[in-house]
Amino acid sequence: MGWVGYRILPTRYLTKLDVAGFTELPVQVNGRILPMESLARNSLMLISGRQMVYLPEGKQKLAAIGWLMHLTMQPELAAQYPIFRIDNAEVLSLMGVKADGRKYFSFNELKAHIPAIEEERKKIPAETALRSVFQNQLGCLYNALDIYSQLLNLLHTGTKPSELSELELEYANWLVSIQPAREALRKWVSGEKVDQEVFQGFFDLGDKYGWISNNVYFAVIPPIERQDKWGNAGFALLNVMETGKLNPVVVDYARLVTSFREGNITTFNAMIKVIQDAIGNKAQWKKLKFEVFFDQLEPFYVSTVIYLLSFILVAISWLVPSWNLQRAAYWVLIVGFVVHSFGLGSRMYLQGRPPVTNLYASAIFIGWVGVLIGLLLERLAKHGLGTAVAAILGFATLIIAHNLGLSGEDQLGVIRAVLDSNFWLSTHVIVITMGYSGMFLGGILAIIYCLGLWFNVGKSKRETLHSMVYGTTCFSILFSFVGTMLGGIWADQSWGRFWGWDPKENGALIIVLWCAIMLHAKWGKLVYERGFMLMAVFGNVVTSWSWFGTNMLGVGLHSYGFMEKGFWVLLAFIVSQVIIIVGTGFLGNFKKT
Amino acid sequence: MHKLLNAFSSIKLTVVLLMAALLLVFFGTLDQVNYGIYEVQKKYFQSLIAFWSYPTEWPGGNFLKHLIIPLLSGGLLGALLLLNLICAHFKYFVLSWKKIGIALIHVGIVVLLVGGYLIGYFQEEFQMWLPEGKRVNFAKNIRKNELVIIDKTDPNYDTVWSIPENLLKKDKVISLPALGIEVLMDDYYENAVIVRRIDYPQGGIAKATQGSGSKVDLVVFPKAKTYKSNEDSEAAAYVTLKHRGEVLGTWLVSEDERFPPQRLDAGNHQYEIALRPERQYFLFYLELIDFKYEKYPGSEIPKSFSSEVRILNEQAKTDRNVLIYMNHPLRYEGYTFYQANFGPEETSSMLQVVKNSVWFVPYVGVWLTGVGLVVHFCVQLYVYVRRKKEKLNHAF
Amino acid sequence: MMQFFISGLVTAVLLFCGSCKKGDKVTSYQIPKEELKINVVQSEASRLMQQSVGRSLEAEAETNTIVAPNWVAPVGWAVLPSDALKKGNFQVKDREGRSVEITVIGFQGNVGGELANINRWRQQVGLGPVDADFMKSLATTEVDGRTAKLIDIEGSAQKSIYGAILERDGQSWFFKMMGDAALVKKEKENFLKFLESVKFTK
Repeated sequence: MGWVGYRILPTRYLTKLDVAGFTELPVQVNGRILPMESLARNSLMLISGRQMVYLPEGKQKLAAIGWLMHLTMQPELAAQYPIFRIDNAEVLSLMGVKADGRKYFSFNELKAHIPAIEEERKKIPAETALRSVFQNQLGCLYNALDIYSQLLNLLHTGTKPSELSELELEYANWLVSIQPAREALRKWVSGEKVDQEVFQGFFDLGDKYGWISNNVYFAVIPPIERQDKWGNAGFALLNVMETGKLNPVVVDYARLVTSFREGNITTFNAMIKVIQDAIGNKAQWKKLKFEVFFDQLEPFYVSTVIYLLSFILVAISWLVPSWNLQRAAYWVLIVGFVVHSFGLGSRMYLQGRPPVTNLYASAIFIGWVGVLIGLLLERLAKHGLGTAVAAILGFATLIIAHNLGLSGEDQLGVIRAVLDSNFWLSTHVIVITMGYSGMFLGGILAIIYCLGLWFNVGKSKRETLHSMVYGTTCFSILFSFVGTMLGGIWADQSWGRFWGWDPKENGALIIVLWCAIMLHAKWGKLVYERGFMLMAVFGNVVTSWSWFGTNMLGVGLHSYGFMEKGFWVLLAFIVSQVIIIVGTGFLGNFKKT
Repeated sequence: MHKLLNAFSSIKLTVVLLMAALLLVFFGTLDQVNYGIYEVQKKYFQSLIAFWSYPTEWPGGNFLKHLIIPLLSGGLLGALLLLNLICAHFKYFVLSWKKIGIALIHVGIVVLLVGGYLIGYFQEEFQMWLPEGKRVNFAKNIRKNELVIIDKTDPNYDTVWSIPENLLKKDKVISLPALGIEVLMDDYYENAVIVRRIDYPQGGIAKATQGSGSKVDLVVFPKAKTYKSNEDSEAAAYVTLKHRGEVLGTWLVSEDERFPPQRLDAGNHQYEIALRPERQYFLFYLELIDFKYEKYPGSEIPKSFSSEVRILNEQAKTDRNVLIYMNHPLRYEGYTFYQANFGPEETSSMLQVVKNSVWFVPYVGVWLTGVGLVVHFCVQLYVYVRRKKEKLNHAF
Repeated sequence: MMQFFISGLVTAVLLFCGSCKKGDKVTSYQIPKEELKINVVQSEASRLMQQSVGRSLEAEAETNTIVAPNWVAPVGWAVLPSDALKKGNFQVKDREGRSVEITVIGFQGNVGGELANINRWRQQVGLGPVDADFMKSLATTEVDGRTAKLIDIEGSAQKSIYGAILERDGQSWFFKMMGDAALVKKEKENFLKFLESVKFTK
């Protein structure tokens, strides 16, 4: 419990710097306002594949927010941190580096090769299916560099360390020079002789601000009037030409930056308060604080570990029954479930949406439902089977979720227009996801059954498993069918077509068909206990095809793009299931029971 | 005969047919990558039999490309499943309240299957582009083309003669006796690129003696039909017209929207000839007043699309404005209009138009099956609880 | 037995319905008078011809009515062959091998507007786009008595554009000098002189 508690502490930093205040500062990204903490973690996830920076000297670890602070306010320092993850040997060779096991590189090491990277990037074909592995990896590196360069100008318009120390002066000069530049322009257009120097400087700054305005998509400056769109410093400074006013937050951030560089803690802390006041009610501070808390707790990581622990306890309880560990395993599972539920609930609160809105969220929900059903099964059967299955499913789905989250995308992001219906999101999507859960639960129980056959487990245990799987199959066909029908109704209401033969729709149909085949084969006495369980294992294959395989085809309304690494993992999983089926099927010395 | 009935009502057949359905859906889905959803629907789900071949792009493609799997397609499979279901019910039907849930479920599934056929036959889908400020009274069927000869002589109305795409085959002759015109199809290309001869001196087919094809000196390069979702196949054709036996000339017609209307005179009438997606005309006009595209602030992610549309129906004396947006279509005169797309600079909006007189059938099917599932679950629960009680009673 | 035949009949009817084809006959109907022009609406297909700036085919045949103005090319500008698109084409090369190309292109209509074209040029020298606000600060110059926007873009990797966009009588004329940044700077005066010499005949 202490370990969980440690993660709840808001500031694990031993300085007097108001880092907590900084973590809560709002940024508008892709239509959503999120705290700096989330921005730091998501960005670092995209660049590094993890939420920490490991500094080479003394193996020190730097939290994501610490990295962001250095990147935005002391870039010359941040450029030394090895954060860019590169696995592909070809990409490394592009930069003249041999693949000697090192995976993380600093910006300073990559700087000189940026033109080469840009050249190669131009050759990448638009269609994802036509890209080579090298091109995919290069594309990822390019995106990482792009995010990096955008974040450099998150809080200010400085492009060189020297400019960062003089930000307020630069802004003041700009403001002062607008009028004279306008005058000079007017004179020049009407043919009078004019001192070019006057507006060369003006145009240079204007160009710089224009570039930042158009290329930095993270916005920290709130709108002045009653609008929704936030801007960056470049945009705000250019806007002065039209409105005549400069949003004071721009200057506040400049002062924040300089105080950080000078190590002036008091001013830094004071400026945080000033910025918070200046932004005022344009941001929902309670939600921002909560999101920071949620980020730092990392509830899904915590529950992953707890589920693993629970499974280990159950496994030991089967091997050494005298230690009576099943109850402990059950209660550890419940703790994990509580943390998992808290994470799920927090997501719903922060996004204001039903729990499943994208693939990542579906993984989290499948695990949650699975654990819930597993807990119920444990109460009914009490062999430790329910606990085991719940722990396995919870652990596996959260690992899958973590891998889906490696893209660094904002997993709490807004929902596109075509999906924007809370009613259908909470009915069709939830019901179908529950169907997936049921299938996986049945599949895992069936795998345990197969292992039971191999290890000569007793008949009553096998019968228990059999009736459990029969139960989950009935559950799955019900939910999958109802969920699919709800999807059809949604489609009919939205674009007039009840059934469009979309790959994802087809995948759901295949799940329903497979469940129907299983049940009819059992009722028609075409299969008995072992046959039925083997079919349930195949249910894992069918469900993972429907959940992931259909997304990888890149066709139709549900396509989310080809997830390269995911393809091989999926293939490996399917092969593993087939091996279990074939292997157990041919276990000759067992009669058909 | 009894043997046949037994065979058709057996549960073993059900399992076999369900397996066949699963394989059909799976292989059809794989083929969607190459042919797109619409073509696969025709090939796999609406036909009687289909053949899936191992794609050459897959590992071992060159060797395995001869692997062809025949599959029972939707048309045949659906019929067989229905047959099996109905036969089984007639054979095993026992009026028992325990089985009523299952009966309802199966009836519901029958309705869904039948509904699938009916919708496939009756449903029509069109696209309607509305440029801002203009009145439009027709929608286009993007899956079917038509060759039209429009009689423009009358000052008040046009008479459209539409020749459906099924008749537009090479060397086919279509007579329009009312006009005294005979249409000879010299060539019909499902997809083609049309360019000017001066840009491409070599190659291409040039047969036009009248109209834009001849005036601008155009040539046709036929292409393979495209199945990509973001590309359109543009059909073209060379058409020779004869009026009362006399050859008027050969025109190049094309789906390409930049083709200006081609006029011709024959027998005191003025006609216009064109090849275009089949049009469905309405007795009313729709006018796009305003299209709004709202994005989330600071992003390009679409938040909502909406079209404010004015309905003008002279006959019914209707003149009112409506708002069409995501999940809120307009239902009018037997057609349903959904917000589907929009044009550049947000100055035009596209509505998906659906005419489906049997739209309610899947809803009935879903309702029946849903009720059946609930009933069956309740029955099972009751039986289970009762059995447990009995067990407890017996134990004492 | 009866049941078997009934069910068989039902399925046969459905099969027939499913596979029978509609639309095998010529149909005719009357519609209210339609405008001369078929609705020209942008569709998403990419086409070969789109490269010639997508106008109606007959209008393309009228490209020859876009008559190039007269001008006086400065000394040192090598004349390159013109084509249907480039009415004027010149090149300047210096001893260090740096080069710039000057083109004169005319179109019917406004071809997307000034902002779009300036952003197109910016992209050509590796810069990001600007928005309409920034446009207000652009300089102007005179070409044959009409005002043209003067564009000076210093791009990335030593490439620059110096040019003018003129809208005149429903036509858009693009005078563009693009190439090595240093050489562009040197030739600016020549370019302005070239612009001064442009005289339209129509």
